[in-house]
Amino acid sequence: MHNLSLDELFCVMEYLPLHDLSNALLVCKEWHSLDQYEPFWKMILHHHLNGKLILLFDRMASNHLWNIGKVKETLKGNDVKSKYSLLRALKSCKLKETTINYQIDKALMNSVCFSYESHILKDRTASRESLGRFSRLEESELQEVEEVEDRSSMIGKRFKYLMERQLFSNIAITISTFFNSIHYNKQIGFKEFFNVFMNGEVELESKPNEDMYKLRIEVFTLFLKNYQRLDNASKYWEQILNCCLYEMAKQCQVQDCEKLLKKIINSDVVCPLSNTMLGCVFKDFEYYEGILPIITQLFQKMKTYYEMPTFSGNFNFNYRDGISKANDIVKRLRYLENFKSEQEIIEQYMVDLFRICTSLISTDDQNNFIDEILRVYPSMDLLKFPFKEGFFVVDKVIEVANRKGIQYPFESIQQALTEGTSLTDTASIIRYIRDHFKMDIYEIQKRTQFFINFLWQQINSYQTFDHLKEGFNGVFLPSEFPIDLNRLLEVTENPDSIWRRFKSLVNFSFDGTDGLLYLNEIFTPTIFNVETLSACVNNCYDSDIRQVLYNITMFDENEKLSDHVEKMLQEKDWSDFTDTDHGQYPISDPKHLIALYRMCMHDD
Amino acid sequence: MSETKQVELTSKDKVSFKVDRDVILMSGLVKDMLEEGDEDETPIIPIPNVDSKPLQKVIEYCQYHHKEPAQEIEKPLKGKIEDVICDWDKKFLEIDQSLLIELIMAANYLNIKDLLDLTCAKVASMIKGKSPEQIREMFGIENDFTPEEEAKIREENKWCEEA
Repeated sequence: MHNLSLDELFCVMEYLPLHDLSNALLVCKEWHSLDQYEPFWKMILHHHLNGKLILLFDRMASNHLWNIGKVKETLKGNDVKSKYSLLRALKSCKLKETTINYQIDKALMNSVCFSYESHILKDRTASRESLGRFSRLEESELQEVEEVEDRSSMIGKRFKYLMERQLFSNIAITISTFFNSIHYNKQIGFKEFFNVFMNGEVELESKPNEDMYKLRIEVFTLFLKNYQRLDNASKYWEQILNCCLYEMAKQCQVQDCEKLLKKIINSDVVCPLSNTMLGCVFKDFEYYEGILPIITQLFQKMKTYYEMPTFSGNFNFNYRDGISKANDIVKRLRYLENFKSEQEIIEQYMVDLFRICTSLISTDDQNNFIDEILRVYPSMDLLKFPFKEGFFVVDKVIEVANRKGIQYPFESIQQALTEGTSLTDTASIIRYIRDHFKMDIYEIQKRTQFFINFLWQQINSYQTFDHLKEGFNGVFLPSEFPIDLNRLLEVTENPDSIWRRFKSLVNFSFDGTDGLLYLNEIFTPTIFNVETLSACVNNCYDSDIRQVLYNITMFDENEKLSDHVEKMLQEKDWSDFTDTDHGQYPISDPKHLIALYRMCMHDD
Repeated sequence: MSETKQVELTSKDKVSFKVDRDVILMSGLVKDMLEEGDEDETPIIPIPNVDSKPLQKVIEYCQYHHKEPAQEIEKPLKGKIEDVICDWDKKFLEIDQSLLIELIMAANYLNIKDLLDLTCAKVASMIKGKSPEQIREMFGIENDFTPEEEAKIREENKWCEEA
């Protein structure tokens, strides 16, 4: 080997994969001297790109005009034009499938084609022919030829750097495409991460023949070797840790989980970790219970942002009784005190606790549950219940408050009527106000303006006529029907907005005639006047429903529209007027009424 | 039947080999020299840089491959060289290390690209998977780096390991 020239050594090294090449460069100074020559690294880059193009083409191309033999031949040859057209074809080649593996291959193909074009085809520097001339010169002589034009293209580090960048780019593309294409953290592959991160120290069941399994192993291996250099590493770590916390209880012994978490804690990994991820710990609390200090350490180490986990969906177990359920929840809340104060926790979870309470079937269980919670958290102030986030639990809160002799001041409860509560909550709160503040519905409207929000809730939750009826019956007492519309509007600050909501409600009731007839019955005077009809009739595509709508519409407080139009028809011959487009005539114009009549009383 | 034209090659150690002209035309160097000379005689071509032993192997290679073109060996090697070359080449490469090195030099000097590729790939295959220490030991090379220099190069080329 001592006798080989640098050029011959070069030929040997061309066959070495990168890892072996780096070992070979460490053998002796003579071998290492190749490292300084641009043609050497250009050749290494060239081989790398060639190999990658062939591999990717073979893996991803389908029904392509090029075949693998032609690709290899073109890359080997010297015809630059053919190489350009090959690159164009490779960039546009169709994928066999659209799985993550292929998405990664496609992204890599684009990057490799770009590098090949820029650094191999367009860049003619660092030609191998000059290597011999330069490699024969002594170091001192090299200094003398500094002015030689192509010296820098022969001796330098540019292509070595390009080679390094290309490798890193391949790695970064693989990792980012993998993580970005998986939207749900848990699909990342806990098992694979575990195996790679723990160096196979702990055996988990594996599926070595599955493509996805292999890909995940490859990506995690690359990721763990390179994450310190990746821009989005902390985002990917967040996905990984989320996946781990979600999957560990299902997939590994708690002792193995402890080993994994300790290794993460002792590593240099820092990523944003929402403590909503504690939801996973809550869900499998019995599993994590023995290693809670480790979990706390993990969250304390990471850049935790404090959004507390919700309880929803975390308690689908069959509990023996309300007290057991309360105890389970208290255990979790107590654990949260590692991150938040008791008061913050109470405020955060008050609504959740009442919601869980209402999910218990028997009243006894519900009462036991809430009593236990209030016993453990005596500082829980029911007066601070955020009614605007009631979520169907207002009834229970009010019931408990009544049982405990707590009376809500009017101001604290009225807000709930105007902001985002459900129809059921509105009914409960109106009932509470009626009972505790002795107000009738008109007084309540005057004080709270609840009716606009109530109509909005009716529109949003409209499903059938029964729901409509249930909504009104929940808020209005039987004795309050029919509702005195004039009185209601009199105490309303913005009657126009009520009328707008009426019209929307009418539009939603066109699934039959029951809703319309019901709405007609419950208000006096009726909400069905010429203006309502004009605004709504165009949205009604059923001629029978249009006729009903027409027939219930009043011209004024005393006369039905149909009677009024009948008189008009008797007084004047309107047979020449067949227009149905009422919108083009002012509402005061008789033609408007005749057009409405023609539209409603004629079959489609 | 016309007689096949021959060429006489004389090695560094003055051993002569008569070889068919068509066969030895695989050598770029010989080809260039023959183009300059008289075609009617059996030319004598001195090969002063190559000993008889490697020259004989070169001729053996050319005799086989001038009719059986060698297969392209992909760069870099993906596995062992034995997996990508024909049985004849495998047998051909069953030689000691010093002869292999001499063959590389001979192939380079005589400008026989396929033979150069084959022999270089064989050496690369021997290097593959070995540490610098093992490579030195295999080829009897002395480590002339100081520990500091070695550490610096390792650090510089760390990225190769991450590939």
